[in-house]
Amino acid sequence: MKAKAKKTSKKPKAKSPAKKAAASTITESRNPFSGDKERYAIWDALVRRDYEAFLANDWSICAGDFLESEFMAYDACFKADPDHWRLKYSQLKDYRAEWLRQADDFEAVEMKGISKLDFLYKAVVLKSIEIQNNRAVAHKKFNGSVETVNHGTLKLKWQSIFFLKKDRGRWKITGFVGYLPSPMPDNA
Amino acid sequence: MKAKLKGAVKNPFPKDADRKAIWELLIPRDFEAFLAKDWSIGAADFLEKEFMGYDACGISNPDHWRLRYATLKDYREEWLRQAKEFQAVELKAVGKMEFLCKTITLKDIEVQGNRAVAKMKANGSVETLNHGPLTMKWQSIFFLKKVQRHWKITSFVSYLPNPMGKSK
Repeated sequence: MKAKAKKTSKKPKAKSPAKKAAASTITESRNPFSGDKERYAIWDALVRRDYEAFLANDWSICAGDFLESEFMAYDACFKADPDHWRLKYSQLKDYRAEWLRQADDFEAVEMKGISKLDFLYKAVVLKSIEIQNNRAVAHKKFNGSVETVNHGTLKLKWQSIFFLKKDRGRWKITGFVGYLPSPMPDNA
Repeated sequence: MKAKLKGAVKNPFPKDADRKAIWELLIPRDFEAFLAKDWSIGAADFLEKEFMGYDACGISNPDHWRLRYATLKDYREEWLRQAKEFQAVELKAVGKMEFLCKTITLKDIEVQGNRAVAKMKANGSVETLNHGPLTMKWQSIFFLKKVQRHWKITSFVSYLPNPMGKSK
């Protein structure tokens, strides 16, 4: 789903207050960890804020959720065998470039019968968050497909494991192993 | 011990400074420390401030993986427990260092700037005098960072099955 090059000028970064309010009204109720402060904050960073930023094509919305000095990310490339996994993002700026590329691609897609935000929420499950002291690991799973007006069927099916650290009172992403197959095949 | 190790296995990266250093710390230094039950030998190979260790528990499905070592202290405890256990084992017909060197390989090291990922694989078994057959069959992925010219382990995903299930 490569985006058609259409952007000639930079997108306005700020969204209208009305739009922002609507977005937070919708998404507040989706967080499954209302009684758990830590997991609530982690879910908010990994799902709500990531989506908000992604759909606005605006990295600055989620930039504060990463611990840049400690960040690195590993890409499983949809393969179960670690021999194929790659050190794809040795720095946060590498990941930002890929994230923006994907946001561009996604912006160019027009969905049938569902909003992009609703589609993303329907496709994601983030329920497993393990916390020990100031460290956490969260499993984010995607499983969804949608018909699009201009790009055929769009399918999201993978799982990523995010590593986080509580840094000065706030949970930050230090790395991830992304794009593992979902489900993983059983032991060979 | 060191002399014996040199005979048992050679650094496969003699002309590649980064990989050579990474292999040195993950294989001979760790083995030497492990057999001596002396954490201090390899302690400086970890970046304690950034460390965490994740355990795949020998299972392919990430649903079963655990945040097992939130701090380096947690890992050190487990490492020392294993070193103690290994010390109590008596191997038949092979030295412990030789067994480790024959069983554990580290050939795949990816380096990008000051970051590296190394894949350690174990695949071997040995008869023991007092604990039945001992089998090591797993793979672990180590994440490293170069800090002031020294490679340090920042984290790992340990005990993945070896081999993993095949992708669909």
